[in-house]
Amino acid sequence: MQKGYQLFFGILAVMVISWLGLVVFPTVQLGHQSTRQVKEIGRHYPSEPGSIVLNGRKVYQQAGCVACHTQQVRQSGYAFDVVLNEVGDFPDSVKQILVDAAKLAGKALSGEEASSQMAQLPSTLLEGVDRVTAEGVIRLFKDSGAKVAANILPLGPDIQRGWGPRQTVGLDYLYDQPLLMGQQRLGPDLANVGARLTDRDWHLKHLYHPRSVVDGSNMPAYTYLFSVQPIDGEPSPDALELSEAFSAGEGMEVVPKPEAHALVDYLMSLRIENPVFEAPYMFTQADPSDINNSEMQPAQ
Amino acid sequence: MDESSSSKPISDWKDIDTSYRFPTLFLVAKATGWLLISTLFSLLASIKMHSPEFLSNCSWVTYGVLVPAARNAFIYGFALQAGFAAMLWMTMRLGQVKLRGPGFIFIGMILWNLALVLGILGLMGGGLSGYAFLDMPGFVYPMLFTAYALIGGMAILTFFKRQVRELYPSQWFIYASFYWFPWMLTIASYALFSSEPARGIAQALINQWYVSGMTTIVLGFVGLALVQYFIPKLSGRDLYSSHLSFFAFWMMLLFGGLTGLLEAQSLPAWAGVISSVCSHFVSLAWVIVAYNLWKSLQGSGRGSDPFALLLVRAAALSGLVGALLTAWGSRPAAAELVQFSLFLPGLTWLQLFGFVGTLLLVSIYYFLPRVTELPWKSGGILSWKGVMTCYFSGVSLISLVYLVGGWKQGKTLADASKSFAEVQAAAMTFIRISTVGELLVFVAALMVCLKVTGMLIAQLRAYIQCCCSCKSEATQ
Repeated sequence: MQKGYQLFFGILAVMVISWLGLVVFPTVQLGHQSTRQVKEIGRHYPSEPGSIVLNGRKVYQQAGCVACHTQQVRQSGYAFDVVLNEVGDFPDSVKQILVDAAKLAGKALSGEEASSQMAQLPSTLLEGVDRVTAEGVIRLFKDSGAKVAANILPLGPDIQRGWGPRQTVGLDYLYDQPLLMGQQRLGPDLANVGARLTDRDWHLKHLYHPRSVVDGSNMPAYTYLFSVQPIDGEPSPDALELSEAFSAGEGMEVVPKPEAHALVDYLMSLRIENPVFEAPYMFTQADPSDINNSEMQPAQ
Repeated sequence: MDESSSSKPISDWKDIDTSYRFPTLFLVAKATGWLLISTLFSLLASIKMHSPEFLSNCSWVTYGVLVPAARNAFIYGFALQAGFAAMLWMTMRLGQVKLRGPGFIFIGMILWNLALVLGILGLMGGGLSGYAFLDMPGFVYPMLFTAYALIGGMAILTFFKRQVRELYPSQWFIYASFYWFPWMLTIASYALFSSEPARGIAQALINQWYVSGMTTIVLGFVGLALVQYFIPKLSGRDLYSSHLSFFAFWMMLLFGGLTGLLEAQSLPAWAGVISSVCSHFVSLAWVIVAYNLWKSLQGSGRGSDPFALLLVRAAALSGLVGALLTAWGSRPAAAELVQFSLFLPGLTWLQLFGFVGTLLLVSIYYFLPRVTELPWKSGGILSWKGVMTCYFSGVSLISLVYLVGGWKQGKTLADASKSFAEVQAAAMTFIRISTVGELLVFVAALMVCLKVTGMLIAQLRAYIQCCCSCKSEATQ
């Protein structure tokens, strides 16, 4: 290759291939996604964020929170719970199948234990089994008249840490402009932080001084989002209730600025609370007490 | 290879070098200034990683702002400007041609730096875009493009006016880099910052395409052009095989724009697969380049400048290791482990600072005295040996602790029985050690800056003296 024009046209051809592959094709494939009706929540998902949330998102973007926090939940696979919902008209045959199903899953079940399972419905017959076992057990019940279902349980360290009930998928980011998925986890994942941590005051204190609520946290304090002001007569109703070690001093109070409130509104709007076609799971209403986030519990 | 075998009289070489003198001096002075700013921001960010109270009351210097500010100052301020200077040097020397339109280059350089100042200030003042490598506000990119059109346009014009028509492998890499950058910048900035930007997850793919193209092709090719220029020049031997270079060039060009898309479950499955396959091809191309360089060096002895040759070899090794680790990290099992950890910044340090940055500093060390006809002031702590030892040991330390720390952090993150506090603790020791490396790199950048400023002042003084003596001769 000794001629300039050969070089030019060769490079141009490769550029076009690269552009078609990684700009045009993804834009065509993914750029026209739209919201989708999700039957479990009875509405379209995702919802368009309101102006307050968008303001908070801007604060998140400007402060560079994306440098330390991802908004991506990973999943390594699935397990299944097999649940008996209804016994039907042939209880004796169902009882026998229960004993056989337990054998299939490598467990021993007596007739009495099977009866007690049938008495308390819905009853979980098998927990955390793989797909083949779950399908095999459900097949056993096929002609018995009983109603048996397999509940889908996503697996993986992110899920076990309580960072989300399922993996995130492209649809979750439909209204993210710009996209703030993040690539670093110097802090925990925030994809579902609004559902995990529901206490607004906790978020405000955490932003003002992270170590006031999380021992040993290495998150910087965002004190510029707060006004430290003298108490003029009555304390401001909006002032943070801080412990002595983190208070602003005698006669002073810490009041969140509108940016701090907007940021907390944004954080509390980050939720993954419904299954989607690409990432199904057994949908139940979230129970904040079940959250496994010991590292974010208030300091003692 | 090039000018060494030429019968060109020495006066012609002087003409060529003189045509390049002031544009290159200013380009290099600006580049080293940005390197200093970048390493300062990076040092502050590193301290903030383990001392969160440090500078915590200012929205301009949060960790999340300092990291992109440092990254952009390095890429657009140092690497691209020093890269322009090095590429112009090689274009002129290899083509045996005088620089065309130095005035346009000068204007382009001023506009480029103005855009960059506005961009970095805008980024720090609340205009952070959120897109990696395109972190500055959207209004900066048309300015950068215009500035580039002036600089790159003149470089391409100089290339087409070359007297030596035969192309040396370094020239392929230079021109691929020159063509790729404006194309990529235009497409990515339009797709992400226009009034109708790409939506949802498509933004991640376009952004990663830009990051990958910038690392592997635009800046990676500057490094590869330099390494294939310096090794024969410093060792006094010809490049072993231009056919191997040819093969590696097209392989890297074809696959380099599609690498680095680490497995992410929110992205379509094909993205991870393509990135993994392409990263492997790029690493294979790197092995070919390394073999070619190794064969070129065989039996060469210590060469004309053993220290510079050692640095070039070390930089090439950084590039090779970086490419191999990128390929390893793109495999699904490894990606699951190193994704979201410090491993990725470790790779960036290895490839951008270790490979490209080292070669650019060697190029400044090598060609600036030739262009200005002024020797470097030697001795003491400001010797190039001291500067480059400081720089390379700092970069090696940071890369190593981030790569090892990232791997450990990723392993802890993958173990659900470990709390997130334990994940943070796993990385903290490595983060603390990295601050030492950041300090070394900052000190090296400071010394380079002082040396280049000294050279600039000496050149201006010589120029003024020359003007004065010419004037007095004319009056007599």
